Amino acid sequence: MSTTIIEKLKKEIATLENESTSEEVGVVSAVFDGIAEIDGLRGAEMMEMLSFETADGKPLTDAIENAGALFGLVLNLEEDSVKAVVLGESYRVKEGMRVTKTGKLLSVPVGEGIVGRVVNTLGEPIDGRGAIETDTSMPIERVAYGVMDRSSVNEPIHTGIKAIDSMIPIGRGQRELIIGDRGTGKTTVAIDTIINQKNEPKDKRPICIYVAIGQKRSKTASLMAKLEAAGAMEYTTIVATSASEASPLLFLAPFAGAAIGEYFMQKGRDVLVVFDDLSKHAVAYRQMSLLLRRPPGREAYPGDIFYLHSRLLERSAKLSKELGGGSLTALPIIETQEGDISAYIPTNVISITDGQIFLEGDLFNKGIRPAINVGNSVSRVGSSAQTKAMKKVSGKIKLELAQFRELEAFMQFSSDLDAETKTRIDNGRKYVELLKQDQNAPVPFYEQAVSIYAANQGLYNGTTPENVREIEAGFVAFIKRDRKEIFSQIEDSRELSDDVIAALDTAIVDFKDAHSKYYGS
Amino acid sequence: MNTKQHYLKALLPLLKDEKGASKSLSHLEKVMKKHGHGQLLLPVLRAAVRELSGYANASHPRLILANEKDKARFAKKYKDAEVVIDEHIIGGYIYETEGQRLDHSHKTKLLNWYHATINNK
Repeated sequence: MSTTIIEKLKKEIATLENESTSEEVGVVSAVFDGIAEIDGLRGAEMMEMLSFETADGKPLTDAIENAGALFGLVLNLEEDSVKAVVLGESYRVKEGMRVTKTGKLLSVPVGEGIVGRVVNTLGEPIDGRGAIETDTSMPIERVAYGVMDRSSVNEPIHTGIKAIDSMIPIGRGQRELIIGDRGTGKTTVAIDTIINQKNEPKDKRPICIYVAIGQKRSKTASLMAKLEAAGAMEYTTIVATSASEASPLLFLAPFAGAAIGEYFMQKGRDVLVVFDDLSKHAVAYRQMSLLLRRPPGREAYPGDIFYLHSRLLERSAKLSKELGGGSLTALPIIETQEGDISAYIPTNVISITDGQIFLEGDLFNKGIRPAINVGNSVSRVGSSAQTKAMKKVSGKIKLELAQFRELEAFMQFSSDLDAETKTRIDNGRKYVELLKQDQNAPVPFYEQAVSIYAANQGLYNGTTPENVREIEAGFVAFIKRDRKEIFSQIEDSRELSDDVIAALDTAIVDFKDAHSKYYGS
Repeated sequence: MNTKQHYLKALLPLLKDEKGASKSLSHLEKVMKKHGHGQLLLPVLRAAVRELSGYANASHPRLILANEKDKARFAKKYKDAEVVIDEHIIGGYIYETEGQRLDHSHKTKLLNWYHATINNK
């Protein structure tokens, strides 16, 4: 036994007072499916943490060997009993076990040390890298900031995905839903957004939090590997709950992620939180509510399923300058079945968020990836959350694609169409090709602005849609190699000044002259 | 005293007679339904189980001691309590009644010191 421990014990023994305070105690009368029914505890509060006395009736040595607190969370208050969800291994709870109130609401330990780590819902590390140094704890449930504490969303968060940053721009403090069927690339959009934050200057780079709700552990592990390979883990925290965990832990996971995000937001930092996905979250909450005998409503979901998601997503905010100016941007993900966005949970979350990115299976299968249906996607914040550079170039691409969508049905009659319609369709196909992007290859905003500007100025005139991606890659490489001051000017000023425009126009002419093989017709 | 407690007080002495217990239980159900108190049957039965099993929130107090020798030391202070010996508490005492517990056991103190030490507080 070290000297430090002996000194600590001496101090404890010398200053020990005979406490005469009693504590309220309840008794477990039933345990089933992760829910404990506890008799007594009349003074228990909603969402209060309870401590299960696992050491009762055991010798001291056994109690120390199996040390590890077991907590529960009060979710139902009844006349003579409370029902609590067990936050841990429910097999350790026995009938007749004593339960005491902690007097605290459930909170998650937070600190700078949590960045770069993988934790569970309770904030415990699960990446095998030892304990996390935390300085405080944040309550998992918290009332969202009021209207007067917020300021307007006017700073962009760049996803690195051309289709989104040009036409569905997301601002810091916004909630933008990513919705689509399984296998359409929803998680990829979120992960690419996280990876793209590496392109932001360090002082403006948001802290990223990825909340995996009921995901396969293999998927979470491969996501972590992707983020590590891209160097994104240094500013990312993963809150992981796997499919095999109890439904209460799945229910609490996104709230834990939001609580961690609020810690940094209150320090004036920008935070990005991805909730992947809220469909599984709703299912876990339904399961837990049915076990708690709460009355089922539509599709057996409890009556407060809307409130579950609205109170979570309302915690996203752009704070006022007085409160530090930090922000919390949310990217919730919803999985639809057969493209049905009019189902219960999708319509709920669509009405809560500030826009949606709609991913379609048909587009994915046609090779249009990311499979974003630009027509049905929207960002309610809009160009307020765009750099001047992107604002300047995105107007034309939106118009061209809108016209293309209207004329797309006529493509099968291409031989009977007039020249102007044929040109519109051809331009539309070229823009569609331009917006295609490889997975996990986000593009910085200045490259996007240059790419789209060049398209607007006719870089692809006289070539076929099949050549567009090759030409784009060649043009960007040409600028990086021979005109790199263009990129640095746009990156610093975030706009397309007259000088930059002139330089780009010259670069386009020079590139076309040097690559005539693409421009046969 | 509320309705549930009235039924409980009436039922407990009847249950102590082992032979007549099952008859008393079936009569209880009929009486409660007759008075429109059928909803209270389950809470009354649970409360009866608590009382008879000596659970912590039973209405009668319990004093838990580590050994017989401690009876002389602590039982005087808590004369009304039923004394239960549990050697696992090592020493000291635990007094429980009506959902409240006063824990002065040595085991709890040692466990708290252990947790405080390993958590470096």
